[in-house]
Amino acid sequence: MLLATVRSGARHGYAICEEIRRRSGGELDVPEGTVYPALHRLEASGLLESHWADESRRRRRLYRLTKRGRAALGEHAEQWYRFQHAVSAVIGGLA
Amino acid sequence: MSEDQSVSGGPQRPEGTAPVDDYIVRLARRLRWHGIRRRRRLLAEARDHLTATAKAAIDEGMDQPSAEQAAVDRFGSVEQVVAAIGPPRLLRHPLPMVAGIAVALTLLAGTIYAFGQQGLRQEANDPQTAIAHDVARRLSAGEPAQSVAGGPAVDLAGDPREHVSVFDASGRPLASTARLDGSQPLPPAGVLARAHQHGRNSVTWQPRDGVRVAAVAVRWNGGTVLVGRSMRSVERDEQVLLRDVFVGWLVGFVIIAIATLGWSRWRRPEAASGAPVPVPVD
Repeated sequence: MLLATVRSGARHGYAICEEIRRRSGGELDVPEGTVYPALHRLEASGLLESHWADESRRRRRLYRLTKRGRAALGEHAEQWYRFQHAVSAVIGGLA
Repeated sequence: MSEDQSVSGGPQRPEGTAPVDDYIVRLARRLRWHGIRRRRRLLAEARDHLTATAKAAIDEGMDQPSAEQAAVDRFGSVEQVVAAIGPPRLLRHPLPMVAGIAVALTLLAGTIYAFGQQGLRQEANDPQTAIAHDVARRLSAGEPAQSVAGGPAVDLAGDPREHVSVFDASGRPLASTARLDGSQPLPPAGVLARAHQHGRNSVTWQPRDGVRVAAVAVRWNGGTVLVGRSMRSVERDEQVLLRDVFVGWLVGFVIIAIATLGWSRWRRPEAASGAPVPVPVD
């Protein structure tokens, strides 16, 4: 999910949280502080890379997808769609 | 942004009116075992995030303390954030640290033993050196060899006293108080030759299996004089030193290992405490 928020370009943590909230229509409201450890883990596993950047006189850490991260995002998205489709089919069959 | 800036923030405000600063301070305390770089980065990002969230709320008309409190509430409790980070590497993997301590303790114990043994060996030669120089001086002054090395015989196999042997320039024995199995043991020729050449020579001499002598050979006008002493007492002292150093190493290692492992187990539940945390899907 975090990988998807930086698919179109580098974002800092605050913007990533805003993007999750915006895309989910406010449905996904995780404690924002827990996003950073997740970003750090993704970076440690080579799916994200980050650097400090000066934005509007503020220094922020920007995260962006690596090549591996882009490939992982594709795989995870495909898995999710299959899972979502399967669950929808089961629920739809019960209805 | 430095860690200090991340923790202290801007100008001090009365307690309770700066929720962001208070939060950062509490978070910094809880991250003290997470490594300087990791802690510094997370605090900088947390401060930036909280400041941006509060600013957005202020722009919408909220007063600053309320905006900061709302930002803190959205960020999650310190416990939730710490739980999402997980325990410090030291707590997750204490064994490398214990292994490092074991290596350091072993090096320390080895150094202590090496210096202690060196000291014992040097001390073992001190009486022989003094006696040898005294005997060489008396021989050079004309005193006969039988007079300086004519005392009661000393059995090298068990007698801890010093023994004196006088040799001429060609290495032939002139007089000696040293006895081993009833006869006078002769040192290797090289021992006397080196002393004759350089004026003095200190060696560990083994005239027979199980019999070791700390010997000092000194040149005199007509040859060399060799004074020796059984190393049995020195070797006994070395064994005591080795045992003491080993016991010290073992006790130190066990105490530090138990303390490290106990500490890591004691801290781990704290790092994972708090309410169930909805961690974002990576």
